[in-house]
Amino acid sequence: MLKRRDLCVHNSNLEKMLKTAEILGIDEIGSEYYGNIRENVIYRLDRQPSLITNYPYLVVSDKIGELSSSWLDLFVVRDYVRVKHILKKKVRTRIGLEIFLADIRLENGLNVGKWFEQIRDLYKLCNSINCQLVLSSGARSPGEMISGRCFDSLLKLCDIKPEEYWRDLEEWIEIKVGKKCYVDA
Amino acid sequence: MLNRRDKRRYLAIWNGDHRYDRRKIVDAISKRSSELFGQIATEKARIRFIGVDEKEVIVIISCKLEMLGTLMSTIVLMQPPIVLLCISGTLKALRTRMERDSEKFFRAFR
Repeated sequence: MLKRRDLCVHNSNLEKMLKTAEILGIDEIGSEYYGNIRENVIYRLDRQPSLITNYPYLVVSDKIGELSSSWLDLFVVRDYVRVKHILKKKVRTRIGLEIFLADIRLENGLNVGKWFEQIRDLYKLCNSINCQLVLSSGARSPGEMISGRCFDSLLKLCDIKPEEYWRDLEEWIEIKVGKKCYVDA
Repeated sequence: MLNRRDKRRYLAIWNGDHRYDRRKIVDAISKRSSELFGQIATEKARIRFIGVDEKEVIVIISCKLEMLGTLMSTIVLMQPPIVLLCISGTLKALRTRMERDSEKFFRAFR
């Protein structure tokens, strides 16, 4: 069965966020590292640790200057129009390009429409340059999290087949995380 | 005789912070839906207020099945945010699930 993942929630109370995720049909979440290791969490780091870790992590940045860095796993796209041309030129293959739905939520109808067109465009770009589109909630509390079924409806709205998206995301995470950490079976 | 009744879906929404007035939540959702998908799609969805749970933290609404995707997208894009907890084809099944999981909801959201 395919796992649904929300790779960005910003909250130090991971126990609560994991409980909410379970209710909402999200199997795994992504969060900043606060020192405690929990199951079903992929940690977001801003620098690559010097040693192999015992927790899964992705190195994340939203700084355009770090886009072509070899250690970067996930680049946060905050203003697609501005970075589109740089993305085409500088992005490395197999990198993840992430969009926060919390940013879109704040916009009015007109801008939401534009955002969705940009996500469709970004998805096409990702397919052409072998990158992975990542849609995340960017939730700061359980009340801002998004259910798995709602993720599916948003993906359909962006002309992305949900099954395909979750499968590709799973494969991408396996490649990115598998090489870098050691987790006991 | 043909069954002409609309197929509907019932949705449970967490409103524990009372960000929205329980009766006005449908107006707020309809307004955002009109903004995003237009008046015709919103009217077609026939969003209705059904009720609230005993503790008045979960609001139940319903909509036409064919417009469920549109409504779910609208729910994600509501500001202030609201959370879709569960969906069911019958009100009875939804209420049963809510009763069964109410403690879980409270632990997660409160």
